[in-house]
Amino acid sequence: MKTSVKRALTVSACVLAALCAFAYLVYALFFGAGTLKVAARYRLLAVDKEYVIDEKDAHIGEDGLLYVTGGEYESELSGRGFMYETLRYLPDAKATVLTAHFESEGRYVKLADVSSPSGFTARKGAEDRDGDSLTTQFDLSYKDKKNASQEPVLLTVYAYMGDEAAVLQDGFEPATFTYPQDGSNKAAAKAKISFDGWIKQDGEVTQVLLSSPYESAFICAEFTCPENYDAALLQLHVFETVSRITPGKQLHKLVYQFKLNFLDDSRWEYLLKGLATTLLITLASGCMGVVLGALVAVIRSTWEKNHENMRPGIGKSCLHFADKVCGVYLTVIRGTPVMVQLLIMYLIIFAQASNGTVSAILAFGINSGAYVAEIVRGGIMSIDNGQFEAGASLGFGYPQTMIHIIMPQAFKNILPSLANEFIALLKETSVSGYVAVKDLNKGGDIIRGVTYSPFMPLIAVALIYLAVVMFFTKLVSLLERRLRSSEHRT
Amino acid sequence: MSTERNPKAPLISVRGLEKHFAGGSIKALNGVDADIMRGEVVVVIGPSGSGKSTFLRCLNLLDRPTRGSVIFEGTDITGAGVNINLHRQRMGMVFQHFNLFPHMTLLKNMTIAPVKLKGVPKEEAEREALELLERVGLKDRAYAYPNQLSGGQKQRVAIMRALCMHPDVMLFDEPTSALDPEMVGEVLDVMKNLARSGMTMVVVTHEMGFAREVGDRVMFMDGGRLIEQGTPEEIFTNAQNPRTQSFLSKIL
Ligand SMILES: Nc1ncnc2c1ncn2[C@@H]1O[C@H](COP(=O)(O)OP(=O)(O)O)[C@@H](O)[C@H]1O
Ligand SMILES: [Mg+2]
Repeated sequence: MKTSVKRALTVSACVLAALCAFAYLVYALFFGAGTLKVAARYRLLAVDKEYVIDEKDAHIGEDGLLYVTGGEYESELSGRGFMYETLRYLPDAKATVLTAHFESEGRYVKLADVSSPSGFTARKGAEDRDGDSLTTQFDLSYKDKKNASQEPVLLTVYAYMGDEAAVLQDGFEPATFTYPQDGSNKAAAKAKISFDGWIKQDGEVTQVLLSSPYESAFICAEFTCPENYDAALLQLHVFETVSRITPGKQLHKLVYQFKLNFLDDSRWEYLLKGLATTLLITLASGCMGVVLGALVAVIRSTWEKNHENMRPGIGKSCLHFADKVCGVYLTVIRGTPVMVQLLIMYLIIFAQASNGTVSAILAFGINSGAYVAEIVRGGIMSIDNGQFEAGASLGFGYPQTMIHIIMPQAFKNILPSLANEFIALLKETSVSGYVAVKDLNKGGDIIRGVTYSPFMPLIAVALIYLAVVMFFTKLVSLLERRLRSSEHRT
Repeated sequence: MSTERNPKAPLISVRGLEKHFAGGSIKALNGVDADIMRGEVVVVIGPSGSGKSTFLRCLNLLDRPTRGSVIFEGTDITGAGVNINLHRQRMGMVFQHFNLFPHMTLLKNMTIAPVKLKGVPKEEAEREALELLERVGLKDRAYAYPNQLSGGQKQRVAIMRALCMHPDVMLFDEPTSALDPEMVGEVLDVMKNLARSGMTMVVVTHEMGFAREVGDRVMFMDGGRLIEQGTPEEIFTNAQNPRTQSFLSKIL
C-alpha cells in the first residue's frame, strides 16, 4: 500500500512536470520573451469606480516615451469623457482622484515629474529619505494663467501604499498644502510632502496622488525599488497615456512572471493555504454528503421495498413522511444550481454569522448528499432481495440487515461512482470564493488581482487541481483493487 | 414456554391463513389451517404457483399474512407488538438460491448471526461453526468465499448457517431445485441427517424420494389451499382428492 501511494505520487509529479514544460512552451511561443507589458488600474473615487486595463504590449519610442496601444485601452478612453463630466458637476473635486499603478517588466518606477494635459506640472525637487520616512519637494506651476485660480489653491495628497489601496486609504489622513497666487502669468509654488513611517524600504509600491480642483486629475507615481532592480523613470499623462521610461535591466519574461506571481511577498502562500481550504471543504462536505446520502438512500429504499408489506400504523406513517421529505430534498437540491445554494446558505441562512467556510461545507455537503443518495439507493436496490431475506430469516432486524449485510455490498459496488462524485465535488468547491472563502481558486484570483497577470496564477491553480484529482483517482483505483481481491467475486 | 408445559401442543399452528398480492387480485393463500408438531418432518408438495413458498414465508413472516394467525411456540407472531426478529432467530430458513452473503467467508456467514444477535463469543461461535462444517466435509473451506463453492456446497453451508442459530424449526424452500442433478444427493443427505437428529422441518420440495424416506407427513397444496395431507404412504399410494391424484400422476 505504502509503495503504491509513493508510486501514485511519483506519477502525479511526473505528469505535473510534463504539463509545466508544455505550458512553458506554449507560453514562450505565443507570448515571446522580453516584451514590455504595462497594466494599469484607474480608480475614480468620486463614483468609486475602478477601470482596469489588462496587461498590454508597450514599446519605448525613439523619443524615450512609452507608448501603450490596444483596443481595450482605446475603449477605456471613453471613460475619459465621463471623468470630465464628473469634474464639471463636482467642482469640489477633492474626491476626483485617479490612481494609476504602472508596472513594467523587470523594472520598478521612481517618482517622476508629471504634467497634466492643460499644462499643470509638478516637478519633483529634493528628496529626503530617512528610514521609513520620505520627504519630497515639489515645484508646482501652471503654464498659463487662465487655468489658475485667483484664490489659493488647495492641493490634496492622497497616499496609497502597496497593493491594497482601499485598505491604506483608510489608514492615512490626506496631507494638504496650500498653493499661493503671486498674480504672475505663471503660477508656481513649492510644496513639501512628508510621509512618515509607512514607506517601506523594499519592494513596496507606493503611489502619491495630487489633485487640484482646477485640473483634471494628475498623478505622480512613486515606487520604491528593491535593490536588485534598476530604477526606471515613468512619466504619465493620465489621459494621453504616454509614459516615458528609461530601460533598466530586464529579467527573462517567464522568470519575472514567476517571481512576480509566486515569490514576491510570498504569494505562493495564497495557493498553499487555498489548497488546504479546498481540501478541508471537500473532505468535510464529502463526509457529510456520504452520511446524509446514505441516510436518505436507506429511508427511500426501505420505503420502496417494504411499504407494501408493512402493517399500517405509526411506523409506516413516519417512514412515509420521511420518504416524502427525502423526495423533496432530492428534487430541490438537484433542481437548483449549487452556486445558488451556496449563496443562499451564506447570505440568508448564515447571514448573521457570515462564516464562509462553514457555509461552504454545509452547502456542498447538503448538495453532494443529494447526489450520493441516488448513487447509494441504486447500490441498495441492486442487491438481490435474497440478501435481505437471508438476513431477516436469521433474525436480523431491518437496520441490522442494512448495516451488516446490505451496505457493505452496496458500497463496494458503488465505490467508483462515489469516487467520481467526490472528485466532482472537489472541482465544484472552486466557486467558494463567492462567499469569501479563500480556497485554491480564490488564491489564484487574489494573486491575479495584485499582479494583473492571469497566466501564471491560473495555470498554477489548474495544475494543482489536476494533480489533486489524479492523486485521488489513483488512490481510489488502488482501494478498489484491494476490495475486489478480498472478495473473489465472479 | 407454554409448549414446554404442554409438549402435545403444536410447535407451529396456522389458522385461517390468507395472503393476497397486488392489492387483493392475487390470492396466493386462501385460508390455510395446519399444525406442525415438534420433531415432525412435514413435506409440502403441489404444482407451481400453488402457494407453497408463500405458505412457508408466512410461517416466519417474510411475507406478512393478509389474514389469519401463525402461532409459534404459543405466541401469535402476527400480533401487534410482537418482536418478530426474536422469533425468527428460532426459525431457520434455507432458500432455493442459497442467499449466502458473498462478501463474507463461510465462517463469517455462519457466525455473524450468533455473534451479533445472541452475543455468543466469537471464538465459541467459530468453534461450533467449524464443527458443523466438518460434519458436512467443508472444514477446509472455512475461509473461502461463497462464490468459490459449487451449488451443492453453497446449499450445505446455507443449511449450516441456519443451524448455527440453534433453531427450533427449519424451513426449506425447494433447497435442491437450483442444483445440478449430481449435487442434489449431497444436500438431501445433510437434510436426512438433520431429520434423523429430531429437527422439526417444513420442506417444500419435488423430491418425492426424500418425502417417502424421512417425511412424517405430506401436505398437498393447490390454488392457495391445503387440499390433502397424510403420511407419505397415504398420499403417495392412496390419495383421496382427485387433484392430488392428478398431480402425483404427473410427477411420479
Ligand atoms: N411477491 C409477490 N407478488 C405478487 N404475486 C406473488 C408474489 N409472490 C407470489 N405471488 C403469487 O402467488 C402465487 C403463489 O406463489 P408461490 O407461493 O411462490 O407458489 P409456489 O411456491 O407454490 O410455486 C403465485 O400465483 C404467484 O404468482
Ligand atoms: Mg416456490
